[in-house]
Amino acid sequence: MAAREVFKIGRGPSLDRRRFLLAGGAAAVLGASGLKPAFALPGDREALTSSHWGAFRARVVDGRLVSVAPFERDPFPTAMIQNFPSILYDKSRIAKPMGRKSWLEKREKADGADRGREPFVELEWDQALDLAAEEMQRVKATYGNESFYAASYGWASGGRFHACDEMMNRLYALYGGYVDDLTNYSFGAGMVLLPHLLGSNQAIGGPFTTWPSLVQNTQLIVMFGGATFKNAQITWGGSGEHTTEKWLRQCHAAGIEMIAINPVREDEVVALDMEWRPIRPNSDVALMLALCHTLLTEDLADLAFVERYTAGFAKVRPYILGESDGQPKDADWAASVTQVPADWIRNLARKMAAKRTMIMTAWSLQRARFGEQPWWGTILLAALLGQIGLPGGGFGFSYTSINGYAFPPSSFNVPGFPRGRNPVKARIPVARIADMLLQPGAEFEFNGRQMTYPDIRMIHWAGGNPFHHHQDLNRLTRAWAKPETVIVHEPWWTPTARRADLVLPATTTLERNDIGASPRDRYVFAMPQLVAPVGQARNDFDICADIAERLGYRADFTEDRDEMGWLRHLYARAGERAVVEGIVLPDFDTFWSEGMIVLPRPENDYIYLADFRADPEANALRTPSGRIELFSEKIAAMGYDDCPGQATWLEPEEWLGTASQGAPLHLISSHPQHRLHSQMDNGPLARASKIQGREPLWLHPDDATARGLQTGEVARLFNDRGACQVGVIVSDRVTPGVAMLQEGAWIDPLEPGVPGSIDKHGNPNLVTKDIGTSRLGQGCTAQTALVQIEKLEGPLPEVTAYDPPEVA
Amino acid sequence: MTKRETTETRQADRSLVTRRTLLTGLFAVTASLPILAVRGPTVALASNLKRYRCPETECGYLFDPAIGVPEHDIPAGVAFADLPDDWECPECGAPKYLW
Repeated sequence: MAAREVFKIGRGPSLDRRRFLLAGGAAAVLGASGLKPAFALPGDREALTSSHWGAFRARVVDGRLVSVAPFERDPFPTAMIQNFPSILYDKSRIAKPMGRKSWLEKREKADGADRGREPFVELEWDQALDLAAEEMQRVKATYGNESFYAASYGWASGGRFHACDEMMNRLYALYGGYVDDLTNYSFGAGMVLLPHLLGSNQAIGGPFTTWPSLVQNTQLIVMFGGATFKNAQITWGGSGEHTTEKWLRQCHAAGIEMIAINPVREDEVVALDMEWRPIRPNSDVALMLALCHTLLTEDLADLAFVERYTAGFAKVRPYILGESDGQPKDADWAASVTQVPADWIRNLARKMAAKRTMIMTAWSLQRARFGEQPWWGTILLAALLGQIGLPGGGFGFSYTSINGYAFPPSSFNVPGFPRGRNPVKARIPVARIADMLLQPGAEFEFNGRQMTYPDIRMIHWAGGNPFHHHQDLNRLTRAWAKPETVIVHEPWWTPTARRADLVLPATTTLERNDIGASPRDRYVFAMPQLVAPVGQARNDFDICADIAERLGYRADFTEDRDEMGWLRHLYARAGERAVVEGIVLPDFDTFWSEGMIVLPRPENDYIYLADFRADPEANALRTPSGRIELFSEKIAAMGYDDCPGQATWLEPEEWLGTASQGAPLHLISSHPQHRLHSQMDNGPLARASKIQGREPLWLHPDDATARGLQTGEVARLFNDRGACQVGVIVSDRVTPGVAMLQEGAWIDPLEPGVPGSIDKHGNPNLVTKDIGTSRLGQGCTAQTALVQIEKLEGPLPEVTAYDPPEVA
Repeated sequence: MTKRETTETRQADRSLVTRRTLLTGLFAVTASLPILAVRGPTVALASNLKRYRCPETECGYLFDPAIGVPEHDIPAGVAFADLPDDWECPECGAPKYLW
């Protein structure tokens, strides 16, 4: 293979590596020199800061944020940063602490079913904090710590210190504990599965085979679930550079053939000259098994690799060939399951075997019923190709799901706010929240464990929005009525804040000081407070510290540090870690006044499992066999029919294969283009994308014609679980029988708080199903939903999603 | 299915136009040169035991046998496999069996 050069593509200026290293020798001193931003007006302030959407420069005039500009070293900044000046002061900001009217009057005797439908009463901060502390005290004394649910799942804000979910965890950990969550909504099933097969979750979290290795070596990238630029606009904890689009474009420029197997044709298909191969949703593992079948029957499988590096293939082979169940998993069979042509499948198998092939499987594929299977199938297929551990070959799961993956590995990171040790051991897989609230005491299975749902009496949540991200929101509405007390910290009147008893207004990152850093980025940013808190908003840290004070453990919570004290402390600890990596950080004051640090680029490239390939005995995996487990005896012994011991085609209860007249379409709910899940739905970009105020839904021309629908019209999306109103975009970018609705619109029921009421705004979780992927992973299954769509006639109700609730 | 689709749906593509518009015409920034972290002397690791990154996206904690886990009074030199079965990430709580 001819050597290829890794070259630079991007819009923004960027310093090359040599210049970095040359400057590096004296950087701690010289970095302070250079031009400073010029201010046009007295009282102006301009500062660099960081966010989940990347770093940006913010301009403040007369104490007000007026504009932002992308960080000049970011090659692919996202337009979403332009939402900041607007959402900071949006009418949806929570102005004051508030209490639900009947809850203030009757407390735990108030009807939880009234959450979301009755007015709020304004409170003073002292009153509100007294109420929070009293409730914690009462619930602990009456029911014990296992009745607190303070896992506080969500993206919250960037910044290592003001991590409000960790603050919530710490507040309760120091109070005797709380029920915590396990896994996540992103790749919950996958992260339970992979340690059984590969001995770790390195294939999700990294490091794994880097983009430069792909650009230089890969000839074919097969993307199950496709790849999208839009998903890579965001990074947990922030980033200086958006690199995923850059690397995908480099792959394209290097002549790498890319195939997107996806029921939806995303932007990058045209931009990267990809082949788009639509597939029936939820059927990918059948395609993978058929590719394996062709490899085996045409003598293309690398059986020497399978023999040396994997375990259990002797049990998998008869299933693929149909010897164990009478059904060969050949291309003709897969064509009937997936609607991908049989010849195309056979040709793809031959091509994958002939070329250096990287298989990228998206997180979204495992967010479906039996979602473990396509990830297991990915590993099986990669093993039969025998390219695992080779430059540019093998498989990976996180390349394009979010920005910043597959860099050369960096071992440095700034530590976060410490959550403390939680004395309560009861936990639930995060996507099982409604099951927990509805069935206290019920037993359930998870990853070979028998577990029991605790009896939750109080929920305390900061910086998350379960009334967006959870499935079957009508079911969650019924479940949410159960606890006696719900406290929410939020900057905005999100659907979750509206469904709380006590609402405590929190600051955003722009209203407080923090440090921005992520292990997937080379920058550490000072995030200085840019504006005064809006309204009466307070930092989660101060809210939690004041509650802890009322309960007698303020000093334990704060460790006697204030905000800047914590930043100095975390930075000092980062410095200690850096030394181990051979990196010397400048002192805190230099860092803070300069605004950012650029870390040295890691020198070595990385190839996932190359060490294992070189010496599988010395570098044995942490699996029972020490090898890649194509059959897992451990999983098989769990006896789960919804997750057997090998990659298996399991027909979902709900997919196009079981479509009916009442629910003939499969709904895909993708990550949104214009917001981060539900964050920034109240911003101008997302609002501008709506159709008559409703979230746009993509529908194939054939399906639209059959319903008399045209682009720009409003339709009702529904099934037995619920209904919402959507704006229609007729597009051949979805395959017939499939509809696509981006997730994240703030739910806006016609009758708030009433289960079953139609959502006027278009959140897909009104119709998704709330069932685990399997007893193994118990992940969410948002991508498994059959729906119907019909035209809406007559006057439409006004969308009120961003209007503050009534104040009594 | 052809490689390049000819019938692009403009409505679905308007996001790209929005993005370009918003990224142009912004105020100019005269930035200072960045401060760079300096490569210092490499500290000899206590052993060649493998390091593990916390799998949770938001976390990034690195278990490093050269450091141990001071939060849990686990000294340097302990291999990941030898951590207690109920060990959890000190920063996000991800249990050992999910690493």
